[in-house]
Amino acid sequence: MNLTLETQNKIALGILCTSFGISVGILADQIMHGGITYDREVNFEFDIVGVLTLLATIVIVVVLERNNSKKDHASLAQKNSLTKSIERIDFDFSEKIKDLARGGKELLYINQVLKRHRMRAYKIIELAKKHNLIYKDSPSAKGILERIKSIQDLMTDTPMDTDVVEDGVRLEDGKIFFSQRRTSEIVSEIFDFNSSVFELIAEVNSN
Amino acid sequence: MDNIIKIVKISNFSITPGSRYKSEGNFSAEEFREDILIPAFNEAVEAGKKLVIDLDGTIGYGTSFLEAVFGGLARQFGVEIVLATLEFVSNEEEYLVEDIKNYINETYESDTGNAE
Repeated sequence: MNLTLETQNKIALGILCTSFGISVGILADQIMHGGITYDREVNFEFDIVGVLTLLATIVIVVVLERNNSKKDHASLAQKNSLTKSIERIDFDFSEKIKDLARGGKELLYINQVLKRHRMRAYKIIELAKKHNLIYKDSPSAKGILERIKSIQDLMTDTPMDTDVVEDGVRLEDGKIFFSQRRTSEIVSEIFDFNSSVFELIAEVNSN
Repeated sequence: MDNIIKIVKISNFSITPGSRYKSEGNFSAEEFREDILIPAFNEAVEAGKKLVIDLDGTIGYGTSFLEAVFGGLARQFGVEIVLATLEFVSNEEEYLVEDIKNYINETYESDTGNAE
């Protein structure tokens, strides 16, 4: 029979409460029928109910401790796995964007790369929320997604008025080129992205 | 479903949507908006029904494509009617729906009446 940790804990607690109830009952019975008297002599009696109650209590404590330890272990494994995924996203995205920021890459390629990374970050954050590893309204998770969107805008929002030479992004023969100022803005966004990632990892491990 | 006149799947236009204008290359926002979206949009408005835009199945969208398609439509027809007529579906990138609604709403503030 496979019982969940929660069910095992509930059963153990039930047994603990029952044992406690029996002990209280025995004590009440002693007081009501025998009274409590002080006797100078020390008598040793084998109290089977008391021994069983003690044994049951020990078993229950061991089961509860073991189950809590299992829960802690599972939670730690989840946190480690999530931290590694976030670190991987941080590294892959930052390196790729630094490469794209040099300019001269096809717009379609940039669109493809950004779709992949934005989806990846979004899905891992949603998964972390689902498993309560981060807050539903986590500011650092929001910061990560906003930084990716901002970088997407900086790289792929070509000017509305093509006659005006903007100090930003330029499309030429299907390839994207950036002004120096735009490149600096992209790099600055990467640093903000890295900061948000650091904060998110701290949040995961503090929960 | 009775209230939906049509589903426009952008990937049927192209899986590699391009930039803003036809002059900038193939599968531009301008081409999609004029050749596919506006006729379907007009049909939906006349029938008083919804037009569903399916965003899945492409390699990815640049900001200028989505802004020029949907922001451009709002500049031409008005924000309210565009928001009331269009519905968006994106299973791959759920966040795109919010992006697009922002582009449509931002036309209130950024409408400069230029090349669009």
